[in-house]
Amino acid sequence: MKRKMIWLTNLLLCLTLLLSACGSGGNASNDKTSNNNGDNTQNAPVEIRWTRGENPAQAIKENTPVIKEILNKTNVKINLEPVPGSNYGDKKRVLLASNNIPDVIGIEAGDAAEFADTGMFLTISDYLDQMPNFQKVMETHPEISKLFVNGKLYSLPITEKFKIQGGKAPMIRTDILEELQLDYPTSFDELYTVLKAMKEAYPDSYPFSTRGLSFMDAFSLGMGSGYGMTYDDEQNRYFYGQNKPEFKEVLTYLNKLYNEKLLDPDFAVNTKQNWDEKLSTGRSFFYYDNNSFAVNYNSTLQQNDPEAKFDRIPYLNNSMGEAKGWLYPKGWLVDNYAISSKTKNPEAIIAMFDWMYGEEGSMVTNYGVETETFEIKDGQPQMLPSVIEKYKTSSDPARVMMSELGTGLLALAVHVDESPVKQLSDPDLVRWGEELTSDPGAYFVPGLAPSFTEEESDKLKQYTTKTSPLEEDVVKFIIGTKPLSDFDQWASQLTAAGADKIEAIYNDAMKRVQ
Amino acid sequence: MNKLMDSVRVNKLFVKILFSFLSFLIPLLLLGTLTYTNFVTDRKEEYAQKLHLDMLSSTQNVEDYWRKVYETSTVFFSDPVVIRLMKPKQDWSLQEIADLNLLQVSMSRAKFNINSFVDGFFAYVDNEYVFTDSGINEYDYFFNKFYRYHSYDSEFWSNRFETVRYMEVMKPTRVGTSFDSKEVITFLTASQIGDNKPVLGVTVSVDKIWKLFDPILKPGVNRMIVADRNQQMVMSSDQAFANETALRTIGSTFSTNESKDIEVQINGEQFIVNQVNNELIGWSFYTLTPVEEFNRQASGIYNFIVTLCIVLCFVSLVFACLFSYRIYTPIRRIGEVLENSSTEWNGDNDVATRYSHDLQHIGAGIQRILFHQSQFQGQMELLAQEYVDYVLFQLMKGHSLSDDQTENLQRILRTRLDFQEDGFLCCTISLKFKNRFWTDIQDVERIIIESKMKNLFYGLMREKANLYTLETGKSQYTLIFNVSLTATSETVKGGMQELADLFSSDTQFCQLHIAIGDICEGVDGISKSYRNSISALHQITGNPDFKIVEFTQGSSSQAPIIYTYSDENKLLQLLRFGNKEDVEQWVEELLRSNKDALYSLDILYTKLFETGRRFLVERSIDPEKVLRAEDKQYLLQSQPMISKEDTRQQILLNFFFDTMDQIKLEHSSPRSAELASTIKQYVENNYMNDLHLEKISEEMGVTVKYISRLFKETYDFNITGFISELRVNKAKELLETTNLPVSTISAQVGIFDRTTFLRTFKKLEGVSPNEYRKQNRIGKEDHDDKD
Repeated sequence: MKRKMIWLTNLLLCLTLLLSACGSGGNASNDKTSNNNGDNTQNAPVEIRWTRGENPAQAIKENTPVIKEILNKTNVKINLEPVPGSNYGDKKRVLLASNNIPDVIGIEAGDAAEFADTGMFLTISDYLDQMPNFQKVMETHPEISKLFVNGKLYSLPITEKFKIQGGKAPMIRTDILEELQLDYPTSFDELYTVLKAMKEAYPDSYPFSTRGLSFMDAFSLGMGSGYGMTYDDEQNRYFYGQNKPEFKEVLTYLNKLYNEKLLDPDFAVNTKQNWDEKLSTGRSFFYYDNNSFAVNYNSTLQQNDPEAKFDRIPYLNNSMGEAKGWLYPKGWLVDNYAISSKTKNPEAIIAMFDWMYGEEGSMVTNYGVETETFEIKDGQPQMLPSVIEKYKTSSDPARVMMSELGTGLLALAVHVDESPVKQLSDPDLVRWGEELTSDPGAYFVPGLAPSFTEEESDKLKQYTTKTSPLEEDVVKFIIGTKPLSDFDQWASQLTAAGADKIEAIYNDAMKRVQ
Repeated sequence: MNKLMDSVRVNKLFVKILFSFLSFLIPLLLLGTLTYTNFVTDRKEEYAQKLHLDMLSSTQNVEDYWRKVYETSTVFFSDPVVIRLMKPKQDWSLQEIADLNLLQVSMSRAKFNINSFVDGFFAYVDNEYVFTDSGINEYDYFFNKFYRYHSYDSEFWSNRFETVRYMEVMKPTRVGTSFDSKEVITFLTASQIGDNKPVLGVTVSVDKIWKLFDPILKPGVNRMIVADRNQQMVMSSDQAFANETALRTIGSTFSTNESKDIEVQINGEQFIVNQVNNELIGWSFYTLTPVEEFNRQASGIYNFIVTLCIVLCFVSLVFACLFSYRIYTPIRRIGEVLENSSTEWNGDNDVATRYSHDLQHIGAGIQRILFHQSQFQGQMELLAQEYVDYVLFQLMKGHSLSDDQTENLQRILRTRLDFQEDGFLCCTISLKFKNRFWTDIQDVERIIIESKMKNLFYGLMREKANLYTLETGKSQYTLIFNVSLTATSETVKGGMQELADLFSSDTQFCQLHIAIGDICEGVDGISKSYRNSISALHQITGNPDFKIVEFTQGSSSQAPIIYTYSDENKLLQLLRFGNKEDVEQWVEELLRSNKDALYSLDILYTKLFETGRRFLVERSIDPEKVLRAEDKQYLLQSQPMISKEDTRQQILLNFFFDTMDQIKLEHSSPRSAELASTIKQYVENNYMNDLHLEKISEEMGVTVKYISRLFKETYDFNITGFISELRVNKAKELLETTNLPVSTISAQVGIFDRTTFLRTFKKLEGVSPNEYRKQNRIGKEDHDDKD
């Protein structure tokens, strides 16, 4: 019996030895590989790829607090793939054409309509019952209905919760006006005089500068014409701007400015930064573009010259004595996000977007992380003073802040609240917002073009490819390499290329929606 | 407790067993070390290989980037728009200015393919403008603000189009934009377009490059250094690391070939270096993996092995102790037992006690036991033999055995002699030696012959049947055959004939008379058959050299004297133990039974007298003392005397009575020891002559065989050997001291045959007498010289 006991204990000892050996041996060999599975949350987060164009005004950063917070709250990990704005159009088209879109892609309303039938987009309207917040937003943005293609919604628009009203407006160095004892111009003709006077006083300057042709739509409208497909709110119809006789006036005016060296010779090709620099360093004194830029120019100018100031002047009267402004529409409905139909976990993404349309999500995507970047004060979220301090000295405080935090329109927000910007903003900006709205020439441009059928889209493509090369001649007219006497011919060329037909399509489409 | 202490006491045996268990660990340790080193080496190799592959793939990606950039730049400069519009500001025509947006489009298009990894994309041809894909920037604005190189100012760039060769790759530099700053690698290409030399700059952020090496760098263990053709550092993944020293060390260790794993030491740490060269860029990529890493991984298995070894050591120790105890204790007990028993036998403990537990001595002890056992066995054999001899002898004599004795005898015969049959046949062989036997054969050899004769007969006849040989008289042997009752004596007879044939050549030395008796039944039949053979033997008349006689009933016209050994023994017994009346009665009886043999009665008397005389000599009593002088002549004479029987009888009886009286006086003296010493003395005094031991034995009334046996028992020495030795020693003396020839010496020592002498000498000394003389002569001469 004693012997048996001894044998049993020995056997047990050996067994335990073996087991522990196997265990530790196994551990030793598996040591290396075990390190990789560190981040095992209870549910693995849904990882999605998100691509959009990057606006040069605000760089898109990838590991921002907002992205982290979105992961926290919605269990969705966003892998951002921003593309510089200038390239984005092409890139986007390639992705769409090759049916190779990531989980979330930033597109324009037109793209949604165009590619809706390919089935590459998730049909958002099917999930509307899961999106209570978005439904609420839809009520405040009636134009969203224009996004529906054949009764279905394929993309999510960027909506507005609160916006400091902005617009493309005439902004001028009022300090120089004072210096030169000039009156504020009230019409385009007066503008010409003022610019001339400025040039005389500052011969090295080019008083009027633009960043390419983006000013043309507002400028032409202001002059009583139009540029591209323009909406006539009085006649309630769309028209093509360039082939109308009124346009000649615009070209003539600008050509005069160019010839007299009042218009920056690089106006057509300035990068925004370049253009910013010129306006910030007193090489130009007037621009007709987004009024909010002036805030930055002012802060830069005032570093050297505390008196320097860009300010808004009321919309100028055109030759017919009317002023027509150009205010940014409600929301940014042109900018949409579409979800790939191939995505693995659509519900998670839908839920995330709906959250972003709601109170909490909207707060996060516009303010950042509570207690880290903002706090609730009197029931209203406010950026933390420490955060504001941090960015106050940057060249473009609001944009730099939003870039770092990952907030705002130009980052991920779909229900934009510009209040943080307001906090950081120059009081001028707020003032301008109010002034713009109350300007007699105040006019909100439509946010969205009407939605087209496939046939219409094809036709539009057909015509626009013919008209675009001709449109390039606008610069030539302005610079003078194409004589203005050729205008009529050019206009009829445009018509021949299909400008009227484009108009017709637009108006038909519009009628359908109405 | 003491017992425990006892057994655990350190002791050679115990330690030996313990160590033999522990030696089990040696292969384990060897194996463990081998496994460990193998594992580490294998891992290193595996890792280095995998790393190399990763490196190759990643550097390939880097190369791809570079190639794409290069291609882009080539495409860019061949773009007709670029060719047309890329010129200094002052050279532009108005038309060209109007078309500048096309340049922007071209740049955008060129950038498209490399957009995923490229950071900055700019071109310039003068100090006025820098073109990017988003438009035109003023030169100063661009390099001082929009894309500011921390280490270079705009001056630097304006020199570029003087100095940039066709392609130049700038080392990583820090670039700041409005939003952030980062390290980029700038790839500059220049082209000649007309009088102008536009420069295209494409930058890739260093982070993007490192991202390509993610699989290598991600675990955070490896470090990478990139060096250019001149072994100057381009960039490194870990700024905190001693990159310069590392590079220098690597440079000195490496040749320009690619190698997979070379170990270098940097700042006291060992690293394995993996190198990949890229021809296109001209950069070398080095990955440094600290050897610690492998050891850390291997530490797992190392710990495992060490733990296992330790545990096994411990376990072996436990087992060793356990088993040692278990094996050792019994051994110790055996040792103790032997120790105790050895004291009984040997009495000398001094060596035994100390190492009694030693296996060797235990073995010795066991051997002793076995030896003693065999000794006793031998003695037992001898005793048994003697018993059989004795009993059979009694039977011959005519004594009747008790029932017990008969039973024992039967059993012994059956078991020891394998006498399975019921019938017995006695065959008596009488061997009479002739004169020549004593003169021509050396005494020593004579003894041997006489001693071994019985064995000879046994050996010869063994085939025929189971037999037993007895010596029943002087040179008289009886062979008792065990045959079945129904068998004939033909086989025996045939055997005897063979025997006779054997001896036929030796008739010069002896006479051989063989008498074959009847087949009789039972143990009693043995004596009957014996008597028959004796009477048959006595019928042999004359002195033929050789005769075989068979017993037939009703032979013997002349009744011979029957005075057998048994009769003789009976007499001896009576002389020893009986009283005078019995002796008288027995003698009368004997004489009466032999009264027919008138003519040979005096032979009987002589024989009886001999018996008495021998009786005395055995007891070391001189018969002369006992014998009355006047009676002597009567008794000793062998001639027939015409005298009154009565007188002769009376004389004999008187002699017997006196003998018995004498015995009563001196019966306490040990016979055999005295006899043995007598013999020895006789030999020592007479060895130089031919020893007639037969004469002695006759005088003393014993057989030669008895003398040899007695001698051996007493002195533990063969008598023949003893005699030879005495002779050889004397011969040696003579060889040394005299110059006598060998044959003379031989005769002087008592060996009358020279050949025999040489043989004997060589047997005992190992050398021949002459050689011996030579050897000792030399010594003696030296000795003489010294004197």
